[in-house]
Amino acid sequence: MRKITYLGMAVLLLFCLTSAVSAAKFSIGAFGGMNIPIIQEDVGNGTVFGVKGRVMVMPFLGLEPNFVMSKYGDKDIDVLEQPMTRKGGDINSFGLDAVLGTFGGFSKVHFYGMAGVNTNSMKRDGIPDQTRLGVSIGTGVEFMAMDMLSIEVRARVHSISLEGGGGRDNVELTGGLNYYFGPK
Amino acid sequence: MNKQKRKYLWLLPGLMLAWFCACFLIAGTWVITFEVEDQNIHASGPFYKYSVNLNDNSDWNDNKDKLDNIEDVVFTFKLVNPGDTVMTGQVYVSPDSTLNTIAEVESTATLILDKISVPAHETLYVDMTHYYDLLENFDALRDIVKPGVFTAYGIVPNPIQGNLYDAVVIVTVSAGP
Repeated sequence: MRKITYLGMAVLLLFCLTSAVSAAKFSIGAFGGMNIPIIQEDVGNGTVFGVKGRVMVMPFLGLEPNFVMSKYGDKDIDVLEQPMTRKGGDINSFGLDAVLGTFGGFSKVHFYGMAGVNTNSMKRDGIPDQTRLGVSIGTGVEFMAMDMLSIEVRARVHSISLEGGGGRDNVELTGGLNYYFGPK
Repeated sequence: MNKQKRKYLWLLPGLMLAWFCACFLIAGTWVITFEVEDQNIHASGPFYKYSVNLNDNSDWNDNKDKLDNIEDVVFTFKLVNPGDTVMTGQVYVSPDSTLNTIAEVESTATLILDKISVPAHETLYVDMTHYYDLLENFDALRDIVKPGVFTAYGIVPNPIQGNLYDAVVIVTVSAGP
């Protein structure tokens, strides 16, 4: 967990420094919201928090390294007509998303879609920890509240493969703030 | 690329999202609760067993053909010790239902619950929280459960009276299209 955190922060920092050197427009941001498991009877809704950078490599295309901490909520399972609680779990994810959208021009509202890959460290009571690859895809809208500050909301489907086969799919509904650096 | 075309670029990931949903989101995770037929076992010897056939469960049958993975297996039960001394025990599992001695079980079956201990005149309730404190050999357990038919063996080193109630097997499976 600590290694992934440090690695995520290092890569984020590297991207920001690279962008600063090349004077490209970039941003750093934080977000939080809800993690909703899809067709998973053994876990409940949980929370999601994360940090990300965005480097605009073209006017309509950006790259987003991100570090995301998600939780699954506990789930009550009926056993002999009595509820028995199964504890949720944690997923720490480091990834890179490509975002494609209407970032150029003078509009204060940017719509975009995104797709990416990530590595996920999954922990749950009683089950051996797993580190698995995942993919994500989603869409969002960003409102430029000020020249350098934006508010955004996004929906991201995060699909994680499991050891031995199968997978877990989650929808992450988040809201966040981004602060931009570089040329306007 | 002209501005008009660029304006609609964000639709491309939207179409990818639709494709992604169609391909991946059909997979899921299901919890199958299997109540052992004879849930109440009154054992007076050092050895007892019960067989589990998940094919008797409609949820298992609905998913077994598209089963990707056994994600979790939990045994829950109540163990009552009516005696005057501490009752200790272990639970083994095996695909072989014909084991009839402690020596056979210890040499060929897989130990999954160790250090079960019930003080005199008390009841131990192994629920989904306590179960994981006792669990051993989780990966081997998943492999044994995957075909759907297995036998659980309980061993009580000291042959004292013991009552097992409400035995349930909870299997979490991951299944795809």
